[in-house]
Amino acid sequence: MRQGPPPILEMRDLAVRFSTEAGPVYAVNGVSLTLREGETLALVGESGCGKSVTALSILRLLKSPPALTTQGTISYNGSDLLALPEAKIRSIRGNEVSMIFQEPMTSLNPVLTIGRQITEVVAKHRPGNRKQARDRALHMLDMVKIPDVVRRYAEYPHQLSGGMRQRVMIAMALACDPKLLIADEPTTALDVTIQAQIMELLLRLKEETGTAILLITHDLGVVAEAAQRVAVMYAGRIIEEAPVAEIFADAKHPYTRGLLASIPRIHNRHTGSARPRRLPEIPGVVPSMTDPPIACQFAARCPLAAAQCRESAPPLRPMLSNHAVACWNAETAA
Amino acid sequence: MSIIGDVKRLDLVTRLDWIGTAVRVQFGRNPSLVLGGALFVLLVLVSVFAPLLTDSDPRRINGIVRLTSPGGDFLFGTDNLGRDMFARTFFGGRISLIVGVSVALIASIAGLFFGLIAGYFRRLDSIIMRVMDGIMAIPGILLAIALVAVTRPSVGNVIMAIAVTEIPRVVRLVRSVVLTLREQPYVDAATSVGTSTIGILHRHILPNAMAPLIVQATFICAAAVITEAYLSFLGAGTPSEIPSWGNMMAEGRIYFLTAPWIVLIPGGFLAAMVLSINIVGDGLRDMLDPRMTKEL
Repeated sequence: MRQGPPPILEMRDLAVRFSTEAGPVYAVNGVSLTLREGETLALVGESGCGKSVTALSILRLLKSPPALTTQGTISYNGSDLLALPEAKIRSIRGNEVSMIFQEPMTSLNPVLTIGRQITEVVAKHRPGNRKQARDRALHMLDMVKIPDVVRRYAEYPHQLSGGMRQRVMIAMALACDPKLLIADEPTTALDVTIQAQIMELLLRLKEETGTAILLITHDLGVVAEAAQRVAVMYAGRIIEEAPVAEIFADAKHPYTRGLLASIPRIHNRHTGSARPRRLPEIPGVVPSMTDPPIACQFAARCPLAAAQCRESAPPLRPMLSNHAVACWNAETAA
Repeated sequence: MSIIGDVKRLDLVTRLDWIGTAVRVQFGRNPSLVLGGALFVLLVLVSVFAPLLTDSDPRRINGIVRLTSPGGDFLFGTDNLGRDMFARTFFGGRISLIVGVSVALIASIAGLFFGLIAGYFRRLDSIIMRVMDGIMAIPGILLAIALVAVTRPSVGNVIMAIAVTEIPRVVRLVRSVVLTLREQPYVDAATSVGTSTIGILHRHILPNAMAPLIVQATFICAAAVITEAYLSFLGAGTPSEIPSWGNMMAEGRIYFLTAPWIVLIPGGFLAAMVLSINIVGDGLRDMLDPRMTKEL
C-alpha cells in the first residue's frame, strides 16, 4: 500500500434506507470510502445510484423520516459523525466539512444579500467581530473571482447569473477553510463554458487551500480532469475503485467499461469510418431499489454474467494495490 | 476599513433609491394601492390629530343644541344629547384604528409564532392545528361577544376578543407557507453550513413568509374595524362613554328618520376606512407576489 497523507474521512459500510408508501427503498447498501487529506475523490454513477444520498449522509443532511441510516460509521478525524450530538455536528458543518449543491439557482436565500449570507457563516464559526466577518466575506468573493465585490456584496441572488451564484456558493463553502469539501454535482445545472470555469476555479482553490474534495458527478470528463481517485457506484454499492488513470486505461468492471464505452468521441478521419458509429449503450435499466436482488445487481445487464453472478453478490476485492473491483469475472475480464 | 464604509453607504443608497423608485413604479402600475394608501393615511391623520382639529369635547352634553343639522356651528351636526358629531367622529376613528391595528399586530405575531412551530416542528403540528380548528369552529362574532360578556366591555377586551378569533387564520396561512419553505434548497444549504434551527427559522424562513403575512394583516385590520363596530353596535364592545363609530351608530339608530347624519357620518367614515385598508391589502398582494400581477 502506498503511504499517503493520513485519511480525513473514513466511511465504513454505510447503508441508508428510505421508507416510502411503496415500502422501504434501499438507496445505499454498504458503501465504504476513504478520503485522504488534500485528495480529490470522484464518486460517479448514473442518476439514482445513491451518490447524492451517500454525500448528504456525511453531514447528516438527510431528513429523517423518511431517511434512516441503518448501519455504518463515518469517521471524520477520529469521531463518528453519525453518532455526534446535534450541536457538535453543527459546529462541523460549514466549518470543517462543507458542501456545494447542484442547484445554484435555489441554494441561496432570495431575501438576503449574498454578502450577508457569507458573513453569517463566517460569524458563526470564526472568532472575531462582525466587521472581520464582513472582511472575510469580501475576501472570499474576491477569491472566487467575482468582479466588483463591493457592489456585488450588497446584491440579492436574483441579480446574479447561475455561474455567479455557484461562485457565491463556493465562496460560502470555503469561507471557513474547511478540511473537506463535498461537491454534489456542482456543475450539472450550468452551461458548458461556465462548467469549465467553475471546475477550474474549484481546482485552483483546492491547490491554494489544500482542501480534500469529494466530487460527486456523472460527468466522466469532469472526473478525468479533476480527480485523483474514482469510485464508481451502481445501485447503492461501490463496484470499482481505482486511481483515475487506471479507470480510464484499464477498467475491470463491465459496468465501468460500459460507461466509458458510451462516451461520445469525435472520430479520427484516419480510421476511415465514413458514417458515425452507433454509440454503444448498456442494455437494460437500473434494478428497482425497493427489492434489490441478492445476486450481483448488474447481472441482468451484464454481457459476462455467469451462473455465480445470479446467485451471490461479489464483494469489493482488491485486484492490484490500489484497484478494487466487485465482480466475479474481474480476472477473466482483464 | 474603507471598503466596509463603501458597503454601508451602498446599502443605504440602494435602499433609498429603491423606495423612491418603488413608489413611482407602483403608482404607474398599481394606482389603486397609492390612492387607497393616501385615503388611509388621511383617515389616520385626522384621527391621530383629532384634538388639534377641534376644541370641543366629544363627551360634552348640551341639551339646547340636540339634533342640530350639519353645517353652521356644528359641521357634522349634533346627536341626541347635543354632543358635537365632528369631534365624536374623529375621536371615534381613534378607537377604530387602535382596535384594527392592535388586532392585526397581535393576531399576526401570535399566528406567526404558532404557524412557524406548526410548520417546522412536525410533531407539534397536529396538536396546534387541532386547537386552531377548535377555535375556528366557533363563529367569530359569537366568540367575541362571549369573551366580552364574561369580562366587561373595554377597548382592551374588545381587542383581545377579536384577536383570538383571527389567530387561527394566520396560523394556517403561516404554516402552509413554512411547509413550502422548509423544503427549499437554500434551507438545506443553510443547514449544511451549520445554521441552527433558530437561525433557519429567523433568517431563512421568517423573511420569506413576511409578504403573505403582511397582506393577511391588512385584511385582519379591516375585519377588526368592522367587528369592533358590530360589537359596539350590539352594546358588547366599546363602552358607551367612549365614542366609537359603532356605538355612535347604535345610539343614533332610533333617530335615523329625523337625524340620519348621526348614523350616516360614522357609517361613511367606517366604510371609507375599511375600503382603504382593503385596497391597500389588495395592492400589497399584487406588489409582493408578482404572479398575481394582472399585466403578466
